[in-house]
Amino acid sequence: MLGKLTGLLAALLIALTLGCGSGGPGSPGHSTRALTKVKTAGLLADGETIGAIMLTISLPPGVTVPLDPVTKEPASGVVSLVGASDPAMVFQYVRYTAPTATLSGSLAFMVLNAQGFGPVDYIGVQLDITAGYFPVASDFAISNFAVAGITNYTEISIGNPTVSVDIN
Amino acid sequence: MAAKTIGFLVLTLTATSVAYASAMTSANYRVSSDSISASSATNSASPAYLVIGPASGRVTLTPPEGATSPGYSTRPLALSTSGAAYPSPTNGVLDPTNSSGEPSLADALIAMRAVMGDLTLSPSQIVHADVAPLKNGRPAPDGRVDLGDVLLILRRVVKLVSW
Repeated sequence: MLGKLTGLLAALLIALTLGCGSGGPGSPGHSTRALTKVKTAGLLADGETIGAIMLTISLPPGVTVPLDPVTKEPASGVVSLVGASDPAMVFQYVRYTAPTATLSGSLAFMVLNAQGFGPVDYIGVQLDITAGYFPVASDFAISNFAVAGITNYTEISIGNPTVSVDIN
Repeated sequence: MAAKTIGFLVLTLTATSVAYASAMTSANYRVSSDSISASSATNSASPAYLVIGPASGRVTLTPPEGATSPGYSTRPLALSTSGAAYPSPTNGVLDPTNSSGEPSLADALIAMRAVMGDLTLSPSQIVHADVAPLKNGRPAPDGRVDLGDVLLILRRVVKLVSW
C-alpha cells in the first residue's frame, strides 16, 4: 500500500558518521557525526502518528558499520533514536550485511516507538568509511522503506525516497 | 479419505483427523494448516471456498469480519486433531513457550524478525501475528504480517492497547 508521500520524503536525510581520523572533508580518515533524520510530520494522514519505521540502506564500497568486538554484531548505538520522550518505549532490530569485494553491504533496521514518534525525533545511523573511499549521496540506495502509525497500524510503503548524505 | 461438508467449506481429510463446525453463513474464509493453504475468494454469494487436500493436524478457519454463523465469531477458529473446535483469538503470541495468552517482548521480537525476513513464521504463528489493523478495538487480520502487526503487538506488550 502506497501512501501519498511524494514530496515529503525530502525530510529523509542520511548523513554518515565516518571513521575517526584526521583530515579535511573528503579526505581519508575524516570523522563526521552523521544523522539519519526522518521527519514524521506529514508522512501519514493527519492525526496519525508514526510508530514504526523500517528501511534498508545499501552501503557502497568502503562503507561499513561499527561492530561490537565480542559479538561481531552492529555495535550498540549504530542505529539510535533521538528525541523519544520515553526511551523505554523504543525498540529496534538491526541487521548488517558486510560488503564484499564484489557486493555492496547493507544495513536494514526497524525502529519502533510504542508511544509514537514525535515531530522532532530522528534516527541516527553511524557508519564507518574505509580510508581511500569517498562516497556521495547517490551511492546510497534506500529500499524497503515503510512506516506504520499507532492508530491505524497500516504499513505504508514509501517509494522513491529522497536521500541527502551529509559528509563533513 | 473422508469428506465432510462444513457449511460452505469442503475439506478432504485424512482418516486420522476430523474437523467439523456448525453451519456458516459467511464466505471468504481463509483456511490454513500445515498441509493446506488457500486464499480466500471474493464471491460472497456462493460457497466461496473449497479446499481439497490432506488436513491432518491443525486446521485454522479464519472467517471474515462480520461472520454471522452461530458457531463462529470473527476470531480465528482452530480445529484440533480430535475434532474439537474452539476459538483461537489472534493475540500476538508467537513464542511457543509463552502460555500466558499475552504477548511479551519475545513475541514482538519474533514478529520483528519475521517482517525483516530473518525467520519464517509457521502457519499458526502467522494467524497469531496477523493482528493489524484494529477495527472497533479488535484485530481485523488483513492476511499479511507486516510492520503494522509488529507495532500493534509491541503496543500490546507495553499495555498501550488491549483487546
